[in-house]
Amino acid sequence: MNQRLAKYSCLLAIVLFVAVTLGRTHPPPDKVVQAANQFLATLTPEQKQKVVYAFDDNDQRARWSNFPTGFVPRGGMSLKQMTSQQRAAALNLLTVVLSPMGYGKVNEIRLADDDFKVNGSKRGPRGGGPPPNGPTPGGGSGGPPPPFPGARAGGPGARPPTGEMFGSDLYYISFLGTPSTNIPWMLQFGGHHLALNITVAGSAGVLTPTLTGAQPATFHLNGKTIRPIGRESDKALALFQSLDEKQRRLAVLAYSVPDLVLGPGQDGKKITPEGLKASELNDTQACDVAGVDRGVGQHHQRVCRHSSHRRTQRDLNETWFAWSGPTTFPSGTNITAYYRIQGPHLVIEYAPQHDEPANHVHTIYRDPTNDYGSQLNGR
Amino acid sequence: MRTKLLCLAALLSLTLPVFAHRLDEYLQAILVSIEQDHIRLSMRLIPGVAVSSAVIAAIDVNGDGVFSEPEQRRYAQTVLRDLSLHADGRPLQPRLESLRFPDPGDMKQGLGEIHLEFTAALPAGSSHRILVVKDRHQSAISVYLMNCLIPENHNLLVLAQARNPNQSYYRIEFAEAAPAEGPLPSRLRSYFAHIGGNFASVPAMFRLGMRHIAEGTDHLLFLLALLLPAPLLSFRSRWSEPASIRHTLAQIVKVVSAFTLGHSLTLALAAGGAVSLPQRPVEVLIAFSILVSAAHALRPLFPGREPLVAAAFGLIHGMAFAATLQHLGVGTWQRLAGILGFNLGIETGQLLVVCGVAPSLILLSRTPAYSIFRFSGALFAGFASGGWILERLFGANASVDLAVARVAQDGPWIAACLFAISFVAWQRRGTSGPTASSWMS
Repeated sequence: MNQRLAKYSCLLAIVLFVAVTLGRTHPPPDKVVQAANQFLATLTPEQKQKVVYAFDDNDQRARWSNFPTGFVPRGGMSLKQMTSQQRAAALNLLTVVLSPMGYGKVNEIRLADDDFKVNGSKRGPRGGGPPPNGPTPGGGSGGPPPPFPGARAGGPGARPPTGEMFGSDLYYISFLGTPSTNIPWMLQFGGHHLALNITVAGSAGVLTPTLTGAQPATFHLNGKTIRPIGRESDKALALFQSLDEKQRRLAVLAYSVPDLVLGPGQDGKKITPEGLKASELNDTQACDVAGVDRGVGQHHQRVCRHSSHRRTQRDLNETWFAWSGPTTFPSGTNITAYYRIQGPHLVIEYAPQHDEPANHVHTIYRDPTNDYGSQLNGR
Repeated sequence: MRTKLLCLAALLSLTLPVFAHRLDEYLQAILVSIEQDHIRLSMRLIPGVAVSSAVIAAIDVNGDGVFSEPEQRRYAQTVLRDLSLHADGRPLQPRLESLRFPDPGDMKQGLGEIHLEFTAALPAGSSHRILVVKDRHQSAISVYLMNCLIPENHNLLVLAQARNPNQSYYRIEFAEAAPAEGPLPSRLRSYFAHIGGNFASVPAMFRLGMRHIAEGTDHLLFLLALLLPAPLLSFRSRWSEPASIRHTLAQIVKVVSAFTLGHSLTLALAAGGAVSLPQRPVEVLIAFSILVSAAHALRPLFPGREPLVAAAFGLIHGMAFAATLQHLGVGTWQRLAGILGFNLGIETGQLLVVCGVAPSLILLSRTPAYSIFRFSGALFAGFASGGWILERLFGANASVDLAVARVAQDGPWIAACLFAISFVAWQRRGTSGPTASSWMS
């Protein structure tokens, strides 16, 4: 039973994480293009020039980060720079492209940044203040606040950090190529703790790599507790708890993992997997699981219709689950352990940051064989 | 091509300050790539804001606020000195291949990322190797990520990884197989990893053969379907009376031996490199062979010539066994020993199954229930082979492997139940059953 549950939950974890991708209700391509064009139509020619990059602009393609935009500038235009009409059109585009769950998650990540701006990290200084009293980006560590040199030579796109570090409006939208129902194009949306890279080619779409994160990873707003990355934490914990002793021994890594292994800049890299292999679950419900797996396979394919891969039993058998860190947590809190789910066409990493492990999380979702939809557009 | 472009994109992205953020730690992330005759270490060094001043001071020795080229080289050499690399216990001589340093101002804010690449030649050694990487650079303030890329060269297989708790020590076990076209089949990979370094030894190959026959349900299904009508005589294109026990046993022995002969022949030839067939047609033909033997179990298609058919299809099955062996890439002698062990394993596994099932077949064939049993057995094999043909020919997913594996998993129990039922049926026949001559197919 445990084994069955384990495979089940493993799949659920994957599905839920992937749920931020182009959604269970895959939008018809013309609707996406229509929503994109509606947004672009609200822009002045100068703004449009700023927002639309050439499709082969690989610098812009990789210009994403978990950092606040004040540190690592993004391309395109932020919600803050938009009129209310433009902002509405931009957010409408996201609701069309993303599943409701995915859109909700994006909003929660933005709200977390608002919360950080007001409250700072639990231990660190208040956020939002201008330098040099600004917070350590990403949370206080008890160490000295980061020094901000007034002026410095710029790296590519570098600029001195401004007072504007945090807030739900410091999220940038950009396009690579022109929205089209048949020629590949790309939509990017991101800021602090968020990077969506959505490649669309006809009716096919991929959302890899996707970075999500949050600090605070648990906060209260209007009497509600919000955990932007809570599902990833809960599902993985349920999966871990469903493992028996022997499986846990395999899944738990004997070393600490201080950060994402395949974070920003690590596109297309395939690392040798470790931990518990799904096929090692040696279950007696193989047939039942095959049914579930097929469901997931179809689900995933509906999400990423380009997929020529059969994400079937073989992929599941080649899927690994690795865990590093504590194994018990108070219910309703975020795990403080690192985990990784890795298959032939999938990498999910969940990396608590050591300054505030339960309250500061980075996650990444990749398909190393298809980052930026490389298989869609033959790049 | 695509990979190259992705790498290019990755390289381009490295010119941007994109990386995970650190505060009071010096993150050192090492990615090891293993190639046939050398290894490559790609290293990212990212000082957090609280420790960046110390790192900057160590690089910018003259304190002019610029990382000059000599300063960069000097620091890279310091890092290199703090790394130790060993293959099979012997130290390697890594060489600095490329280096890239961020702007000191970026680094001061915790935004800088040093990127170093080292390569080291791998001296010739055994096919099973152990690589150890140790990083002692700035150990007081550092945290580590050490990983190994899946080798691009499919003949190289990472068997095991080990690290100390903070990942400053990293041990990789990998095996090198002979060059072969195409990637290793995933099933083989797991066997390979399972038997680890002893893959060339006869006992390991024996176990591999046993496992192969236990998990390679298609081979067994072919044989069992062919044995279904073994206890019967054919009469006017129908299966009719049970044959004598002697005849039945002789028939079983002939069929099994012929199958063995057939697949041993091609296994030896193919493993020796004398013949080779692409894997997919072989897999399809194997599925087809099951269909043929299932049809034969329903109505005699080639009565009396079963051994011949078993031998002919055995040739095909042998090709598939060879595919399992092909990539192990061991020396000739080891290979011969390996084939011997592997084949013995297959025979033993096969014999165990036949011995487990034959008594039931003989008993049951003397009862009226046998026609139902034979019919349903043939149908099962027929459906399975049909599914396999669809899967292997069109890439459809019919989950046959799983369905059959599920049955096979309980094989011993099913065989035991079958024997119990056969025995009871046979006993009842003794008291009240009709005479043998009245049974129809």
